[in-house]
Amino acid sequence: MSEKLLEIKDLHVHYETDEGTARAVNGINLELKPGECLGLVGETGAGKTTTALGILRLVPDPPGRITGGEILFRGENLLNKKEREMRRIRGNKISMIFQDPMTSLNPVFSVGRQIAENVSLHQNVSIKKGMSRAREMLELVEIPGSRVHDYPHEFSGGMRQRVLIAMALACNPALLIADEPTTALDVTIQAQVMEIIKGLMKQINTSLIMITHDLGVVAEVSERVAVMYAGQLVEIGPLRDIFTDHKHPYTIGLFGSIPDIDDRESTRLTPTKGLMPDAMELPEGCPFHPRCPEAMEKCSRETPQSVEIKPGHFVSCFLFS
Amino acid sequence: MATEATTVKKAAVARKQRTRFQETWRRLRKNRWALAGLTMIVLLGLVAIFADFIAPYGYNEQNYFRILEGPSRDNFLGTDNLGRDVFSRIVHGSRLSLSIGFITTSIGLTVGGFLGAVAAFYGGRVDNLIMRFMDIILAIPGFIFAIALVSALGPSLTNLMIAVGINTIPYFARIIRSSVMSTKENEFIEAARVIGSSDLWIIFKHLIPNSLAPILVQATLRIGDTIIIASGLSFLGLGAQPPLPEWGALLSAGRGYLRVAWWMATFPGVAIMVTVLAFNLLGDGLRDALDPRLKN
Amino acid sequence: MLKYIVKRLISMVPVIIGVTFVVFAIMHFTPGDPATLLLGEEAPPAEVERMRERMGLNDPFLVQYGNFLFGLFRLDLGFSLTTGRPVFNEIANRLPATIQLAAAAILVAIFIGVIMGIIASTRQYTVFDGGAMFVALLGVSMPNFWLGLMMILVFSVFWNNTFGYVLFPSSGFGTLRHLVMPAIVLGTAHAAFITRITRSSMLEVLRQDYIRTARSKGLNERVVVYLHALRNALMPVVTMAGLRFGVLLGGSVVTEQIFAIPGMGRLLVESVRSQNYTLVQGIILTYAIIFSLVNLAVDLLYAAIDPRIQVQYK
Repeated sequence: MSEKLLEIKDLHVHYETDEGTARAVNGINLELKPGECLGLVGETGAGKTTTALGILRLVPDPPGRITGGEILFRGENLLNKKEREMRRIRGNKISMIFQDPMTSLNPVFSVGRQIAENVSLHQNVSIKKGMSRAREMLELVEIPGSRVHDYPHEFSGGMRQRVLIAMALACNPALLIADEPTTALDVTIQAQVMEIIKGLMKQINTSLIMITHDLGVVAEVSERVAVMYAGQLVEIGPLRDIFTDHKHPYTIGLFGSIPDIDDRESTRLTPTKGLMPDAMELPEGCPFHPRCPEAMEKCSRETPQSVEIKPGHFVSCFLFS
Repeated sequence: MATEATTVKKAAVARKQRTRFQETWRRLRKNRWALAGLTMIVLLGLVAIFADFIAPYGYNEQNYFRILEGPSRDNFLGTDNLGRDVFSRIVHGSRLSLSIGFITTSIGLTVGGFLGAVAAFYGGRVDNLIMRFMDIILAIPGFIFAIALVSALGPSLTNLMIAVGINTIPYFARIIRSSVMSTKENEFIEAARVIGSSDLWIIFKHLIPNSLAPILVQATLRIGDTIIIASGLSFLGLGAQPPLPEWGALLSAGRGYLRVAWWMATFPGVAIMVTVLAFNLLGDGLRDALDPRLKN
Repeated sequence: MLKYIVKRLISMVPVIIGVTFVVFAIMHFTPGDPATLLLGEEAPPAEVERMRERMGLNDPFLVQYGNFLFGLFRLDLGFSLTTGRPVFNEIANRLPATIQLAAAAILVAIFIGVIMGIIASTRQYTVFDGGAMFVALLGVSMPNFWLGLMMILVFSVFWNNTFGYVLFPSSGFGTLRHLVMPAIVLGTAHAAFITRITRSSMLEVLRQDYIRTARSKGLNERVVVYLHALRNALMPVVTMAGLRFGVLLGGSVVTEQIFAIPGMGRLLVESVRSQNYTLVQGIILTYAIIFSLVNLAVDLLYAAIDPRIQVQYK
């Protein structure tokens, strides 16, 4: 068995609409080891969710289409799998938690039923047996098992997110993709949910891709961090490197836009100028060059390759090649 | 100074309305089905206007040598039990069916619109009284209520239109009420009140025009419905009386000769269907064009 | 739940009383003298006058209405002016046929409408979608009495001419074969309407996040559509189908007429023609009550479909 659980090679995802083609993901390369936690950060619209949906092959089609690349899961390319085989992987080997817990649960089924459905589907047991597993899972995310027959509207947002986590983990998946799981929640609830995710990760040895634009969340759970911009990975490396020794001008800008409370006097808040380009009209060359303070003439012609500047720390920028 | 300001304001309003109209028209034009509906309605209107020129025979022109004859070169939709040309009767009937559609809808629109606007504008007890009354009418299935009204008024074309018209009042009342309720809170209504406009003026000058979009859609779709209801009543012998070539009445007459003269019942029904279809196509298209968010 | 049903039933009362008033008022001004109608044209004027007195026709309008309303609470709707039998019995005789017809039609409509709507929504912008939507549009634009005649023409007349027997009888009532054509005729417009609503409702639901969640669990598309999506999409379908049930009831009058079904609708048309106003008002009232009860049933159905509604019932 290969050491890598997941390997994404040169993934391209496009949305083709009447108005044109939006290039949401453009040549992403990513690896994940078993049990590892990777933080995927970037602004809204950078293509993080599309990447995640791509892994599960759930990019809405039409208009979305995976136009190139490979997604190797335990050495097998998911993009070559039949839909039926994919269905056996979804919710079983790879699970996903979505951003908005308020709308991600089906309002007309009890939460237990929704968890049990997952179990019964993949472990070939009756819904009834699945319900006892559902009870277990609810307890695991600190919801009383007695609430298994309650409906989503009877739960708060934080609890619903925990239900979704319970649902995603019910079949002990090898990989969990959490798409901004705390964004829609109150700050205090956010911490609670993060605690639960962190605890469970240790308990069941699942790999995690934590998608977020919140650097605090990343710092809390990730071992490695990948920074995404306009459909490309601009920098990827160990958590410590990315937080203390970031190289890519975009990453620098990203960290620069966090106010430093210890040093109020000297450093002014310096958000990166401009906006992320529209995925329909990506600039030639490096997608960041129109906003880049270090942009060179070359940047608008060629796309930089990813360069390893330290062991495990890669940057896609001409400043380093 | 004041007049100049109002002129400027009026011009601005006119411009805004024109662009909105143009925008709607632009979207409508892209919708092939809606355009087909519109074209069909225009054609039907022309047929109704020029019926005397289009129809080869009069609507009550009888020919006892040609009774119950099938479609032929002379009578290309056949003849009826009195030797009348079915095609000519349908062509003349288009006047009746279209007038019924427009007149009944106008009755519903004016009375219902007025009641709805008043209910929304005054709110409280007036609103309650009017809308509860509308609820009562709506609790009686429409077609059956129309039968009751016709039975009280006596069967005739005029009474048919009154009955079906009354029937549509609650629909317009409801739609205009909700529409007015939502525009009532706007600042320009407040402004009109401040400068001392009368209630009626505000209702007719501001509230109703601003509710035009849903009214237009509702009216277009309603015309199709009223044509079906009215022809149904005529079919039961409770509407237009012989020898009037109302389409429902033609169908009713054809029913007795179904076994020997299928064309008598078939073609008037096709005429009804095509007409109603045209209004439905246009109505659907208008709804999508006026509110693209509703379109899936 | 029971408390809610009772509450709703009670809230129906003012509307129904309002209906009685409207219907009574309309019938009051119907031309023709009921007493003369009852006794015949040749009856001596003195006897007619006595009859008018006995029937309370000389009382003021409101007194007459009061008496009518009072009778209503004892299920006394007066007497048929043509047969002299109680209106209640006349209606009770005819009610079963109408209810059977309406029930059959609504079943046909829901079955066809929901399936066509789902097919259209899951294959949006394809030939299936376009085809289903066009058929549905034809369905709502078609007068059902015409469809009835055309079906008789095809399945009774032409079929008989070609094959020497009648596939579906064109008149009468009692067997399932008799019910097929009327149910389709009456159900078609409703089916078309339900198709349109189901489609737009499904398109809305299929965009929801929980559908994505369901897919991410590895459920197959059929389970996602028919279990997760449909149950949510049914709410507006049920509402609109309930509201439009009145149109179906109206259509049943014509359908009964065409297929000679001994239901309330035929009785209504006969009564209108013979100016039998006591029977007319009784029948219209019955239709209104059926309509209201159906809408109550629709309300209760909500609760079965959507657990969120149940909270309001407690």
